[in-house]
Amino acid sequence: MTGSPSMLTIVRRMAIALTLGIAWLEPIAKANEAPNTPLEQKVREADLVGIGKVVDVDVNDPRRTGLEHIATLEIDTMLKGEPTKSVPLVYGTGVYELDPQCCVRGMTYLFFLHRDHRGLLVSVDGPKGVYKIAVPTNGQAAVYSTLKQ
Amino acid sequence: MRIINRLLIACPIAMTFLCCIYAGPGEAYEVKEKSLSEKVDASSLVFFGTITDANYRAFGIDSNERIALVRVDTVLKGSASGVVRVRYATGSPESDLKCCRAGERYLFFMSANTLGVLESVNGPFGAYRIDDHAFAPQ
Repeated sequence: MTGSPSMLTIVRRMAIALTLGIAWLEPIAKANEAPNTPLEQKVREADLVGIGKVVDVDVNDPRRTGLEHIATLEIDTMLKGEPTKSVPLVYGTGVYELDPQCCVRGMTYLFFLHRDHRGLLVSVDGPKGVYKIAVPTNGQAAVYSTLKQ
Repeated sequence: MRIINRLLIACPIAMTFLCCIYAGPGEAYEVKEKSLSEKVDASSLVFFGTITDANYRAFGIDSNERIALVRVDTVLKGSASGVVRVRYATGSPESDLKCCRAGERYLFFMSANTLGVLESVNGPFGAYRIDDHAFAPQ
């Protein structure tokens, strides 16, 4: 009777192993998730906060490196920062989890951005540093942000 | 003739004096725009919203007050869902929000008063219109 474990024991051991495995993997899975930063902190860390429109994507900027993608924004309402009309935004970094959910040409967003050492603007909070706020549909803006808080 | 001459001199002086007196209180009501950090710090609720009714009336609302019903679309700070009440006029034009018409959308910086009605944290600078092609700060 002591030779081989019963089927129930095997199932129990597998369940324990599975639970331990999930517990071990969870922090690794979240390693690339951007934390949800409070609005106060986003504002503090931002050099530029504004509402604007994406006018160009995949811009061939000489400052881009590797897998980066750069868009050109036209800022319509500046909430923080020096007034400026057109700015370059890094919206693709090569790390999907850290990319802002941006940019579709013609769409309007609220941006929380800081300027990096190259003068390019990047999201202060990965995917949660840019909020989609309008999509023109049939001449009327009618679609709202779906970004999670 | 001398009286008329004196009146001609005295009237402009009196007018200038009166203007000076009234300019003081006029400037006192002027609301200065806070920085974005100050607005966010003062806000209990920051959100994108759509005006669903610009002339909400209910018991207890003063005749000078204007309250709008606003559908909460996206919350950036605080907690809210569904429809909230926003007071956008109080009878004091200097501190009123330049808002609201049904269907318009804004970014609101608000705090709730004792009645649970939301009010701007910075007078006319507490809401920004975000409709397409209409980005002038309100």
